[in-house]
Amino acid sequence: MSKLVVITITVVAGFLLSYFVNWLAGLAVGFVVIWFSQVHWREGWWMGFLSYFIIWGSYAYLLNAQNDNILSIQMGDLFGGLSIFSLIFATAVMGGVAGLLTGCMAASLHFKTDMLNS
Amino acid sequence: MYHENVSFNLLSIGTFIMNKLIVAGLSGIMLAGYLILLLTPLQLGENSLPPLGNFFNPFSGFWQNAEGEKPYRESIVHQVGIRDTVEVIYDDRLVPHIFAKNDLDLAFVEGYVHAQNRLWQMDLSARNAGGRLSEIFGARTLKNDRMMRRMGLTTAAEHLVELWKECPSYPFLQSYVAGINSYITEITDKSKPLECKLFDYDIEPWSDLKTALVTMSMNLVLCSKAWDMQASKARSDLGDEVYHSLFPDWDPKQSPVIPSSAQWDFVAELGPKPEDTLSLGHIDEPYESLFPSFVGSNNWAVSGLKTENGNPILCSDPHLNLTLPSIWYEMQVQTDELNAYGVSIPGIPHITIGFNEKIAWGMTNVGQDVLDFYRILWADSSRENYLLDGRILSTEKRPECFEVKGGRTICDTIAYTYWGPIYSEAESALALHWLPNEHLTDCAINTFLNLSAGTGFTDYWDALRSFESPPQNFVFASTTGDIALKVQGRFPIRQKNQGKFVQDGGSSKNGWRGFIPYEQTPFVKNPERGFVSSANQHSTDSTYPYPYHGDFQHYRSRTLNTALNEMEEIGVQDMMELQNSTYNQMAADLLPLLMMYVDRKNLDQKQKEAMLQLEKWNFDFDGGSPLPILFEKWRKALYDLVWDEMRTNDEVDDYYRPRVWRTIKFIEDDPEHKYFDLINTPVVETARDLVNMAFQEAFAAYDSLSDTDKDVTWQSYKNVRILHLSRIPAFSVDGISIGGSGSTLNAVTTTHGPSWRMVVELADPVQAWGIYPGGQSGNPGSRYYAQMIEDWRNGEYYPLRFAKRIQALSDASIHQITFSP
Repeated sequence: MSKLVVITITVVAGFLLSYFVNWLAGLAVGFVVIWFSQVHWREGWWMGFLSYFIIWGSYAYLLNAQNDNILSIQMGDLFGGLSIFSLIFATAVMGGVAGLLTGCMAASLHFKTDMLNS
Repeated sequence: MYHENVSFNLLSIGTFIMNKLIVAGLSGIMLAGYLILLLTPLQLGENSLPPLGNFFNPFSGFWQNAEGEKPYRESIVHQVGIRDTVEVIYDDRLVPHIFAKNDLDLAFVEGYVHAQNRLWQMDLSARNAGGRLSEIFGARTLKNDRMMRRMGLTTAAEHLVELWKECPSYPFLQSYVAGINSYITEITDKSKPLECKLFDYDIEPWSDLKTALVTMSMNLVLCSKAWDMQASKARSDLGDEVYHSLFPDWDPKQSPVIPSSAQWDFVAELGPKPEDTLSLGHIDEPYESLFPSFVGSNNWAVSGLKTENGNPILCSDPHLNLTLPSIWYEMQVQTDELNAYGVSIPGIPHITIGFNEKIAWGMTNVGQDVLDFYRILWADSSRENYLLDGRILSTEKRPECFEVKGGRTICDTIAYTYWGPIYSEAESALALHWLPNEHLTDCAINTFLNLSAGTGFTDYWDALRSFESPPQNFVFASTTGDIALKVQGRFPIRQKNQGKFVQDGGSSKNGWRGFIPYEQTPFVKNPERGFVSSANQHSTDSTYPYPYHGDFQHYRSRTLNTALNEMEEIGVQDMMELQNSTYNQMAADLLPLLMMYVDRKNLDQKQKEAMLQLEKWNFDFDGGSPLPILFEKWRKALYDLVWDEMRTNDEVDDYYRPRVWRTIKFIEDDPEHKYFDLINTPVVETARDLVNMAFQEAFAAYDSLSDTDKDVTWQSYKNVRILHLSRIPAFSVDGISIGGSGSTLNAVTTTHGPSWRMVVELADPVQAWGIYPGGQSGNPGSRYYAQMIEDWRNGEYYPLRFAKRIQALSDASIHQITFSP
């Protein structure tokens, strides 16, 4: 599977599970997708990071956009004067780090046959 | 060769697996640690942060509270708690217009929309009165919680619920509670109020008791003022004669609620005189009040004879602590029997201040003292038994436990006596005897339902009969041309001066002698002067047969009554301008007197210029003028100098000090009195000396303000702010530019002010305008959270969409919800 496909599937599945179940379920599905895709752990970590950075960041961005920044300005104040961008970025990074560790763990728990043959 | 290859491969596989396991193990440990970090609340000193993963994730965290233009998703809600279909139209200010077929369905949906928009506020209000804030805020609110429990609010609320069960409208309350709970059961992690996410807790189911606690919190705000300890101390130090000279009951310039021409056709039965209480001497523990320092309101109704259209006009603007979310929630309620519009208090069913197709009503606080303290005489050192009329009685102990956030549980015991709960257990054990703690016969939930359905004066009169506490001035006007005002509450019968000081709790003779009968509480209907009004002043003049005392404010009522007396051909716009008036009668009384005493030869050039400006000033506390700053600083400095004998510290007043009007009269009548002599100087000062000293002090402070900000104005100095209920600055609105003061009709102080302005013309059809400083949504992430503040500041009003039919709202509807059985 190409990396783009893995990331796309992770993003879509992760978003749907996070939306309809909860964010931990969204993380769990990312684990499963990356495990099945049998990527190397050196690739698994950044694919996990990128997927969840996109999921958390883009959804936060969309919610903020339809809210005309009303809440993000207040929350930025609450967290010591963070800008809207910083708040969305912090959200994305928080999700991304969870994805990174999940991806890393998932990718390191499978045994690729070509590796065995080598 | 083969063996070598096999062993090489096995070694590679082993290394490979080992590497994999190391990476998996390390990343697993790190993931577990990271998830623990994201799922655990963080404690930072006294503050705590919610679990960051739950709070930041955009699927259920705070981002979900970033509402779009349409705050609600549902358009059809199926409810088992209703009998017929109920339609709710949210208009363009998010005001719900509820169209039900019957009272019970109406109540259910009232509860639902209250919860939908203000659930956290409701929960906080009930928790506050119940002394349970520490469960969500931690130890910093423990002191507040202890005081709430010591005031006996929960016990009183429990009693109130038992009373309500006997009230005709109790099923309405039950339906209201069911509506709230219906919404609560629908709450998911996503839809939880923002503050619940921030403080990391879940909303409990609602109950009758919580509604009673919200009611008790209104009692706390409106009728828990008392200066018994401070007054006892002042009286003990000053002696009886001086005390009564400094603290007279009546301001000769006052303009009472009931015009002085009123005749009283009854004799008050006061019973035997209580024992004198001066012997109790100093009470050194002041009553640390929980109520806001300033609460005041205006309401009035003018007869059709004084209006340009011949219709009565009713105005009501209750002044309260300004908060976000606002204390009020605006709504229209309609069934086959009633159609009413106004503001309600989230957590309590019905419209509190409003109008229907026939009548309008509004309220101001009465201000009479309904809270007394009694010193308990212990029978023995165990402090469990006390003396009353020579008998030994045991206190009733009620254990009170506080579950403090973070896991601690602290238990306390409140002892109840014949008089009420022991409030202070210092050297003098003081029991608190307070109207809402008394066994009321309160069916106040009937009052507002009956007012909403009322068609004329008789319904108003009958509806008020069930309202007891907190005492209110109920103004009334009807399309048939009647205007009226009744001072309504359950007023204790007391001897003159009884209840001003801490009393001896060892004798039941010192208790209240019952309550003033409904027919004998002050009342006026269609007076000759063509208007009725109240602004927290004395209810009557001194001819009223029942003695009473309390916290009364006279300047706004004088401004109001003078204006209404002079006005003719009154229009709605005139009434709006009057509500927004910033003319200050206190300044008009005091400033000319001060100017008379100023030694101008001792003033420098800047001071002379300021004095010239003050001479030309029209006593208007206009936000854009700097003169109110100078006047206020001068007044306060003078007041502190005059009453230097009565020590105060910064946190609590330990002396009861004379009112401003008494100080002014004192300067007028006896400017060389010994009280003008400063106690810490060798020379003998007079009022003239103090006026000049106060001016120098005030001008120096005023001038230093202009040094730092040359454009300083009253509004920038006053810095009006509307704080979020949890005092979170980010959810508050600061620096609101608006004039006024506690003594102007537009009584805006730094944190208090007109919490709802309403003007109703009793025409056919009724027309009304209103506004409050906040928004309909309690969600800080909503565009309807604070959107009315700017228009409120500018003195603007919204026409209230009082629809007879649902179709009339089609052009203003932003969302419709259908509730189906």
